[in-house]
Amino acid sequence: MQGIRVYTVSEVNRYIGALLESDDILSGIWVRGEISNFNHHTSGHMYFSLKDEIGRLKCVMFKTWNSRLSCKLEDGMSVFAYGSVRVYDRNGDYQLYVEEIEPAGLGSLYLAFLQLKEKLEREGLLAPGRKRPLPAFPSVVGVVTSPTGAAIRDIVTVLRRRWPGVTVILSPALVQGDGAPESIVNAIEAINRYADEYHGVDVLIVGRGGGAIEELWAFNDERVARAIANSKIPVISAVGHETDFTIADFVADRRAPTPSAAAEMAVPDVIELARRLDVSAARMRGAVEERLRAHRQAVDEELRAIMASVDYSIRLRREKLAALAGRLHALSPLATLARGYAICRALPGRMVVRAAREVAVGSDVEVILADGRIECGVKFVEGANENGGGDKKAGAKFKQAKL
Amino acid sequence: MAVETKRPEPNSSKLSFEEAMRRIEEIVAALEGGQADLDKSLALFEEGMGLFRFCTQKLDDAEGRILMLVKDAGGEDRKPLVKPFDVEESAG
Repeated sequence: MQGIRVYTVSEVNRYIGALLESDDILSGIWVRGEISNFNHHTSGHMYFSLKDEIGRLKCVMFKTWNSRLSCKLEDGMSVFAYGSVRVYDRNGDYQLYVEEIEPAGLGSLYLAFLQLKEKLEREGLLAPGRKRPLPAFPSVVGVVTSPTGAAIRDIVTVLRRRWPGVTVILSPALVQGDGAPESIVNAIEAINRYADEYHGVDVLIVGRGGGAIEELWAFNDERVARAIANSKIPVISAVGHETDFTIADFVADRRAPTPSAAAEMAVPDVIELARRLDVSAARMRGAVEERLRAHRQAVDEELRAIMASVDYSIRLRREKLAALAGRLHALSPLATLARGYAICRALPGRMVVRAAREVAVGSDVEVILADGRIECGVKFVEGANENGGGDKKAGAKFKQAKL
Repeated sequence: MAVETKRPEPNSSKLSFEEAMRRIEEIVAALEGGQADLDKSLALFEEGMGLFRFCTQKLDDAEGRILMLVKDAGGEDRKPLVKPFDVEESAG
């Protein structure tokens, strides 16, 4: 065996190992396959194979990496695994040293989906701040979808039922097949041109009815995503799948799970609005009636206050008057006459006689009593201060006169 | 809240349904707030009821059409055209 270079087993393994490690592709690779022989070892590392219809690839995922897994791995699961292919020196087996695993329900498209979403996210196209509010009462609704699908029928039915005055403009597009993305982009651009040219389309529904997830794939196309992002008309995405989001859903201003739901989002309900209007009208009437009632009451109260003050002043005067009348009565000579006194007045002058000397014998006097008067002739006069000693006689004469 | 009374112009074509609805809600709030004096309240009420009739009428008119954009044959500067679109006919 002279002249022939003999290698040890380890040398061969190391050599192959070095070859693989120097390879650009193998040092960082996404592999799609189905998990089999899955074993989560007590060490924490995971050992399994990835297989497809023909072959299999041994894999190991160390504890440090598999602790970050977002999903639970199990046999039969279809995944994308990222890692490097290297040789295990001990047995010369090459295997995939896995660093990351994504479930791959949809094959490579799903990976493209994730990458596109990440890219658009980095560009800020998915930012919540970009989302525009939808107009509350649109008069023109644009629709980008197939003119022959169920989606346009569902949309028109819902729009017309909820908002009969609405005008719908269909911008037709292919929604599946190879030409779909381009066709959808053209349709979005065409309706935007139309909106520019005439006075607008208030809101745009872009979508299609439900189907297998692969059939919705046009709505994960980057060109479609950018056309939606660039639309001057606010966009509602309506890709008919309740659970799965498409890139279009992320870029659109609003996402609806189905075309019908998009139509409901796009326009208000006429019945609901009519009810709201009635409530508003009733509230206006109520407020004004309440206002008038309050006003009337205020006027009533004012009036009552005025009346009360008038009453009071009248009563006050009446009381004053009664008091005056009482005093007047007390001062009246008539009261005295009732007790038996009389007033004597000289006739004809009717001057009250206060002293005897004011009358002469032969003149006439009038005597006023409580209930009438008497005219008398004076027969005799005797005054107290007339001439001292004649009191007795005068008294007698006065008596006579009185009788 | 300072709510100015405006002449009700329910027939003005410039007035949008949205503006009318917003104005109605303003008026309701103003009336229920009770700050305006009686004359102003009555003017607001009159305006509000005018807008109410305007909106109700708008809801009643069902003139919406269903159209389809037609591919413009003549390049970029051709104005986009529309034609009536029959949903029932297209179904299938």
